[in-house]
Parts: sequence; C-alpha cells; structure tokens
Amino acid sequence: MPGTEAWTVLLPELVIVGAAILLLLVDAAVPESRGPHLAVITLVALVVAAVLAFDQWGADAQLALGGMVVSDSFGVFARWVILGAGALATLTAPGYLKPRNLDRAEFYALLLLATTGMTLLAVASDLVMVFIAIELLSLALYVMAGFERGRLEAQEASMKYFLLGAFSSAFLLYGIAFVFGGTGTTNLIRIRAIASVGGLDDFRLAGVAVALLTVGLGFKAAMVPFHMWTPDAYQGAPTPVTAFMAAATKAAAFAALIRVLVLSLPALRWDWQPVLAGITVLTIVFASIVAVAQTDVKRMLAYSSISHAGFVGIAVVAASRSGVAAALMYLLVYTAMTVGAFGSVMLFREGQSERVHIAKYSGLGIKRPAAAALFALFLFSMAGIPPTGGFWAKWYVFFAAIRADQAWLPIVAVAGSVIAAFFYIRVAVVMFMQDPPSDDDMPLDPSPGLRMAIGISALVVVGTGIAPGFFLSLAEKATAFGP
Amino acid sequence: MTDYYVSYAAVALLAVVILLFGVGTFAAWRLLRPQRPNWEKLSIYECGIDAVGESWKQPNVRYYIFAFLFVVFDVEALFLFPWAVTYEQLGLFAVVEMILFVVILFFGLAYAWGRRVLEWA
Amino acid sequence: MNGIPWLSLLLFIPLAGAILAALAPRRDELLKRIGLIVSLATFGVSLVVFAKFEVSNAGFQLVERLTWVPDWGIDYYLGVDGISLLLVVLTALLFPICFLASTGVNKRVKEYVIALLITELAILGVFMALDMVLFYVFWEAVLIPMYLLIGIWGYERRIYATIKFFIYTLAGGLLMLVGIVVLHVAVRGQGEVTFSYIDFLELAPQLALGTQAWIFAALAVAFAIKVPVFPFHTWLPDAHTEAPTAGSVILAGVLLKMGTYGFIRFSLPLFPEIALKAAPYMMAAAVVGILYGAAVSAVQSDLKRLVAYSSVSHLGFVLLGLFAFTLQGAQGSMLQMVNHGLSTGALFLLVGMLYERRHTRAIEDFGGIGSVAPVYSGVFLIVALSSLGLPGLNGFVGEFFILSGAFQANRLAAILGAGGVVGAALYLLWAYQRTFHGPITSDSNRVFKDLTTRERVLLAPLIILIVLIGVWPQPFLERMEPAVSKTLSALVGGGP
Repeated sequence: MPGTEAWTVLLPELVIVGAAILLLLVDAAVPESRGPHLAVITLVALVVAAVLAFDQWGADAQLALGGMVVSDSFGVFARWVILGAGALATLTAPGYLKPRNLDRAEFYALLLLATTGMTLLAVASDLVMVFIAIELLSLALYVMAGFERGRLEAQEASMKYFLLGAFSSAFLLYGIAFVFGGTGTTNLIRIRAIASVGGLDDFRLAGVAVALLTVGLGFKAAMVPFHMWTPDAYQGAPTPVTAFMAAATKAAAFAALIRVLVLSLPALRWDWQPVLAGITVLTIVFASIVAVAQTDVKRMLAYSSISHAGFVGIAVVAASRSGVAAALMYLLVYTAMTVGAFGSVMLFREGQSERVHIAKYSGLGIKRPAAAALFALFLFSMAGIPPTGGFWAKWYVFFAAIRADQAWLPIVAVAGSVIAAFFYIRVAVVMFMQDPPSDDDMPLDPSPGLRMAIGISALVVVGTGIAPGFFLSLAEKATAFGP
Repeated sequence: MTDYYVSYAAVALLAVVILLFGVGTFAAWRLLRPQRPNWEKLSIYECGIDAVGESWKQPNVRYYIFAFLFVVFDVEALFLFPWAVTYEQLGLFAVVEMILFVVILFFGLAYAWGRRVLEWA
Repeated sequence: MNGIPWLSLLLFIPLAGAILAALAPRRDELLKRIGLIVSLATFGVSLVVFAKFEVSNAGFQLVERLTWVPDWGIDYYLGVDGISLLLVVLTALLFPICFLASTGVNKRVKEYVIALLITELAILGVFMALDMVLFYVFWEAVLIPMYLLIGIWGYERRIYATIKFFIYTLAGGLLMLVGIVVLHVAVRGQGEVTFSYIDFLELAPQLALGTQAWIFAALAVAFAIKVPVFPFHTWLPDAHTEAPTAGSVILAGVLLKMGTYGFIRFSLPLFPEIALKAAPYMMAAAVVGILYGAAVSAVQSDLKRLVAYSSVSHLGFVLLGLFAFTLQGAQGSMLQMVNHGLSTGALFLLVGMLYERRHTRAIEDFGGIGSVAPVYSGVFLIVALSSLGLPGLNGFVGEFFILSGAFQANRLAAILGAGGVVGAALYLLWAYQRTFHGPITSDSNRVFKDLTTRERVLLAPLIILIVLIGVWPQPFLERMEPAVSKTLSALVGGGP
C-alpha cells in the first residue's frame, strides 16, 4: 500500500488523537460528570504516547508515510520534551480550571490536539507536513488561550495570537512555495540532496525563501521581532495554557527550525546563519531589557521566555552536532524551568485569582518559605546560576557556539544574562528581603497535580544541575538525524 | 534570465490593468455624471420603505455555527470528489483510508450533536 | 585517593551543618551553636590539613579526583598547594569567629546560619578546586548566600548594595565562563578533552597568543571585579558597609582574596607571556588603587566605609606585589592576603561592636572612647597599626616584601605605593584619634561598655596571629615558597 510504509512511526500521535476524540465523545455523552477523569485520561494518553515514542530511540533513522514523517532519535527526544510539557501542564490544569468552572473536556481535547500538532512538527520531514502541524497546534492554542471567556485579557490574548499567527503562517507558506519553486520538491531530505549538489546556486530567491521560512518559524518560537504576540498571549491566557505554550511550542518550533535549516538547508548556511545570528542577538538583548521594566510577573516571565528562545537560537546558529545537542538540552531544561515558574505563579493565590503584580510577592519568602524557595530555584536556574540545570544548558550552548567559531554570540548572551539576572533576582529580593504586609495571609493554592508538576520540574532542574553528563549524552545521542 | 521574470511581468501587468480598469471606470463615471444630491437619494436603501433604527444587528450565533459546520462538511465532500473518481485504481487502501476520514469527521458531528449544537431553538 | 579525604571533608562538614540547621527546630541559640560547632570542626580539619602539608613540596597535595562529566573532562578535583593552603586555613578560621560575632542577629536565624555555612563551603571550594568548571561553579555559588546575607541582615541601603554586588560579580563570572569555555575549546583543538588545571598548565601557554590574550582578558575582568581593581571597585564600599558584621568580615577577609587568588593561580601561570605584557598596566592600576583607596578613606565620615575603602588600598598592595613577578613581591603579596584578612576582618568586627553599642558609625558621634573602654581601644590600636604596617606586626612583613619586590621590577610603582603606607597611617591614626582620644563629647559615649568575654575570645585568635606573623612569619612563608617560586619560574624562566 503506497504511502503507508512504517505508519507505526505515528502511533504516539494516533494514541493522542484517539484520546482527544474519546474525551470529546465521553463529554458529549455524559456532560455533567465531575471528577478528575478528564485529566487522568489525558495523562494516560500522553504517557502511553511517550512510551510508544521510545520505541524509535536509537534505531536507524527512516522515512515514513511517503517521506512526510521521519523516525529518528532527534524526533524522539523532541517528542519527549513536548509530551513532558503537555503532561506537566495537564497536572496543573484541574486546580486552575475547576474553581473557574472551566474544567471541561474541550480543554483537554484541545491540549491533546495541540500536542499532536507539536509532536508532528518534531517528526515532520516535509515542508507541507511542517505547515499542517503548525496550523494544527496553532488553532488549538488560539482557542486555549482564550479559554477563559469571561476575562477580557484572555480574549485579547487569543485574538492577538490568532491574527499575528495567521499572518506568520502566510509568511511560512510563501517561503515553502519559494523553496518548492527552487527545488521542485517539499521533502526536506530531497531538498538537502538537491541543495548539496548545487541545485540552489542559481536560485536567486533562495535568500528570500530562507528569510520567509525563518519568519514563519521564528514567530512560533517567539523570537524578536516576531514576538509581539507573546507577552499579551502569555499574560492573558489561563496559566496552565501559558506554561504549556511557553514550553512545548518552543520545543516544537525549534525542532522544526533545526530540521529545516540545519538538516535540510546546510548548503544555504551563508544565507540563514547571519540572519539568525542577528535575530538571536536582538532577541536576547531586547527581551532582557524590556523584561526589566515589567511589573506583572506573568509578563516578565513571557519576556524571559523570549530571551531563552534567543539562547536556543544561538545553538541553532552553531549549525553543528554540538549545536543541535545543546539546543535539545536547553529545551529540556527550559521546559522544566518554565513549567516550574508558571506553576509557582499558579500556587500563590490572592482572593480568587492569582497574584500577578510583583509587589504582591513581597515577604512571600517569610510566610511561605518552601514555595518561595522553589520559585527562587526556577528563577535562578533561568538566570543560569550553577549548580542548576539552567547553568549547564547555557554552558553547553556557549560551548557549541565557540566550537563553531561564533564566539561573539556567547559574549552577547552573557551581556543579556547579566541584564536578565536583574529581574530574576528582583523577584527573589521582593520575596525574601521585604517584609510581608501584616493583613495578608498569602494563601497557597496547591492542588495535588500542581504540587506534582512543580515537584517534577524541580527534580529535573536540580537533576540536570548535579548530573548534567547523563542528559548531555542523551542529547548528543539524539542528534542522529533523518537519513 | 528574462524568461524567468517574463511570467512575473505578465502578472504584474495584469494587476496594473485590473487596477486601472476599476479606478478608471469609477473615475470616468465621477467626471461624467451630474452632481445633484438630495436627501432621499442619499438615504439608505431598504427595499423601498423608510429605514428605521441602526443598520447593524447582531445575528444569532446559531447561524454562525451552522455555517461553520456546513463549511467543514462541504470541504469533506470536496475531498470525496477526487477520491470517488480514482478509488478504483487505488484499491482497498483507498476505501479504508476514506472510511477513516469520514469516521473521524463523524466523531466531530457526534460531538456537536451531543453538545446540542444542532438544535435550532 | 588514599586515606581520609581531608579536603572533601572541608566541604562536606559545612554542607552537613547546613542540612542539620535546615532540619533543626527554629531555636535561635541552638542554631547559632550548630553553626559555631560546625565551623569549628571545619577549622579543626583545616589545621589537620596544615599539619599534613609537606613544606618542601611545590606541587598539589592531598589531591582528590573523581570524574563528574566524563564526556567533557570535568572532574571533581581538589588539591592544596602553598598558595591555597593559607587561604583555606584563613577562611576556616574566620567563620567560627563570625558565628561568635553574630549574637546580634535575631531574625531568620535559621536562614542566616545556612547562608553562612554554604558561603564557607563555596569559598573553600574556590580555593581548592583544580578543575576549572568546578572552580567556576564554586565561584558563582558564593553569590547567592552572600547576596542573601547582605540583603536580609544588612543595614539601611542593603537592597541597593546587594543588587549592585550581585550584578557586578555575576557579570564578571559569566565573562570568566566564556573565557574558560574558549580555553577548553582551544585546547580541544589539539586533541585534549579536559578542564583540569594541571593539564591547562601544560597546554595553555602553547596556544596562539591572540587566543591567550582574549582568555586572559576575560578572566582578568572577573578577577579584577573581585579584588577589586580600580575602576571595577564601585560595588565594594556599598557591599562592605551595608553588610552585617559577619558579612563584612567574610567579604573583606576572604571574598576579595578570591580575586587575587585567581590572578596568581590562573592568570599568571596559564598565560605567562600575556601576563608579562599586562604587568605594567596592572601595576599602574594597583598603584592607583592604593592611592585612591587611601585618599577616599581619609575623607570618610562613616567608620565602616573607611575600613571598606582601606580594603581597596590594601588589595592594591597585594596586586602590586603579584605583578612585580619577583619572588619577594609574590611572597609578600600572598602573606599580605592573609594579613589583610586578619587585620581588616578584625577591624570590621570592632566596628560591628561599636555599632552594636551605639547604633551609629559616624566618627563624629564618637570621641574619648579610649577613656571608658581601654581594652577595646587597645585592641583597636593594635589592629589599626597592623593594617598600616607597623614593624613588629604582620602588616609590616607583607608590605615590606611587596615593596622591595616591586622596587626590583618598577621603581616608580614601588615609590608611589610606599606613599600608600603613609596614607594608611594618615587615615587610620586620624580616625583612631577622633574616635578614641580626646574628651568625651557625648553622654551616650560615657556608658560605652568595654569588651565582653565573648568578644575578647573571638578577637583573641586574630590578635595573636597578627603579632605572631609579625615576629615569626617563617612557618607561613616557608610553606608558600615552593609553590610561589614554581609559579614564577614558569613566568620569567627562573626568578627575578
């Protein structure tokens, strides 16, 4: 049967989609049921998908489904990061949604469908597949961002994300069209083959094509200057969705960026490397500077996410095996840090909603030392202070960049890190060095799922900090690309 | 090299012609017609009767939902057409594939049904 | 690794203490006692290390090595030699003294004890690490507990001071990280995958001079911020003044030495040719620091800030001696690192006691203290004289060696530096006179209590050492000598 070869590559995705459909049908049939079964089904689906994905680890890379999808260790690692982010977000979701009466099957179904889009993006080996996957994950995320129908910021977030996202999808599509025009194919492996024998040397629009592709994918990865949607979307969306978006979308987008630029278009390196290098510099510096001015914690974390995208971008610019491994490692640690940080934001309640203004965190370290300490752990990891995982991730990125003779990038990254350190430690200063207002009891809102999610994230951050060798070698094994 | 750009040039020329056509006819009309505005001529046309109230009314969302579902299933039908024409050559695989496609979309319909979206009132 | 891992013990005892304190109930006295006992135990182990140290051996001793990240050649690699030995013992000595001096701390004592112990662990790690990534990790690990110490238990402008301290030091540290990675990658190009200092000693001087210069610069910035070298010193006055007493003692006593240690351990032996070229500039910066520090100290009205600026001046001497590249200069510089730790640490303790009694540090609020608190003023005088280099006390030995070593290398620098000695005499004796001599002008000074027993106990070891090193520096100098001359021989191909 043509086009179905090795369809088992997509078993994880099939499981997730099946679970999504199941959730919707179950909820349509028995709409008023309560209890954690929705989250449980979602988690089970994600775990099963992760186990199925593991099957492809370490095996020789092979194309599947008519060349649309590839099964390789890179895809497995990226999938694991995405599924992990999805699972952690699912853990945090019920605690947030239930008090707001939003704990519905649609949320979990959308989360699963978004995850499908992301994992498809991680294993896509055809530009059309890349586009389909991006659209799938985007549409689900647009809806999830606006899930809190009553809140105006949520509607604004969703609307902004949708409009800008549609725009950037158009850019991506145009870029794909140009590449197709130049090579006659949209398959990434064949494009590489054509480009490596000089098939693109006469193609004057190659630079334009690469630029358009970078714009389209860079939007999803939230790099400056395509980041305009990020602060509003992260601030307005329900925080579990923010955590999910921040972590998983970036992993998926960078997986695609690596596959398209590093795997498939290394011949066009002279086109995309300087452009991407410029973008990463802008990203790190601009995002760090603007984050300093933020008073809303979610918005500050959004800008910090943008700056982290810049670090992963440095690893991509390195365009080497170490670069790819460094990018994967960074995405792994970044997922844990981000979910941990946003989870901590969910933890601190103020009345019926979250504490978002930074002044409301003053004295938290005194009243709730353990929770504040965990939050501080995630912030310090983001700042790159040893011995947390964030330090090793940054270090590996620097190493890859220096090895690829791009030593100036780490210097800029260092400057950005110093600026960024300011707003990271400011939160710690406010929490630990200011006195709490006496009338504020600072209640915590720890649903069991939230506790587990923060705990797992903290374990990953500390684990990668103390035993980085294990994770580094995993990331290096994952650089076995498609055939 | 010029061959490469000739096709683009043709498109550009076409765009310009279209633009000129549109702008040109309206401009000509503007220049040639007499300008004698009067209140009744300028008022909104409402099938001959007097217009009352605001011209914008919020439509009920059920129209939107039905239009939405229509588009989805219309596109599904669209995909059925080429399949219908070629499925003989593709064999069993095509049948199974299309059944899967229709079934997944049917789940969507079942969900919409269960969520009472298809009720009009 | 045979026998008892003494150096790891030096790290794990404070760690165990911190964990113990974290688990202990929130009873202030108990927690402070735990801190004191743990730091005394660490000091005991450091004395064992001192005793076990073979004087004539120029290499690293009591070495311990475990692989940490094998793919990168990063190891858990500890060792002491003549250069780091005294710094380790100094650190271990100062912490129990700090705990004894911390009776005034009564809020969040648990976090205080934990922070102090983690700081001790990190500083000891910096001095003992032989793997550069491990060195970096410990270097940065000092930041967080110090930042908490200054920010939570400090004085009025503590938040400003601690943020400035943090950002400054972090910037330097990150630049150092890039330098270390560049060094590793450059060495990797020749086929070696390592971060070990011993390997770098062999391989680094063979790298291209351009690469060496960049790495030297990156490391030098980080160390210069720590020392601090003018003009990177602006974090110091605020951090030292706003820190609590224990924080100031640690900052001045050992933290600053991390910078000079970095210079003599890494910058000089790894990049000898570049260091030679940079020496005139470094000596110039050192002299500027000496004179500037002395000048600014002289016009201070806050006694603690005066002592803080005096650190800038004294560390200028250390830097001068280091970059003279003579055996005398280097030995004087090493000894002065210890001396400064003792005398300036004591000064901060004394100022802390002053503050505890009168809640002010302005010199004008005092006057005539000498008549009501003779023991206190006597001790203060001894420490001040040590700080300005009176013969017979430790400061003289260090400064003498530094100046004579520097004189051989650069006469002008030495002469100007000697001016700094005069400056030190100026600001210290003048401050002493204003504070302790003269009539008692304010009533609150009349009831100034003299030193309590606890305070005498915690100052005693410092005073004893100040006098001991002043009259009998031999045991300290002879332990340093082999390692220092080995370092210098790589530099100048055999002595001054």
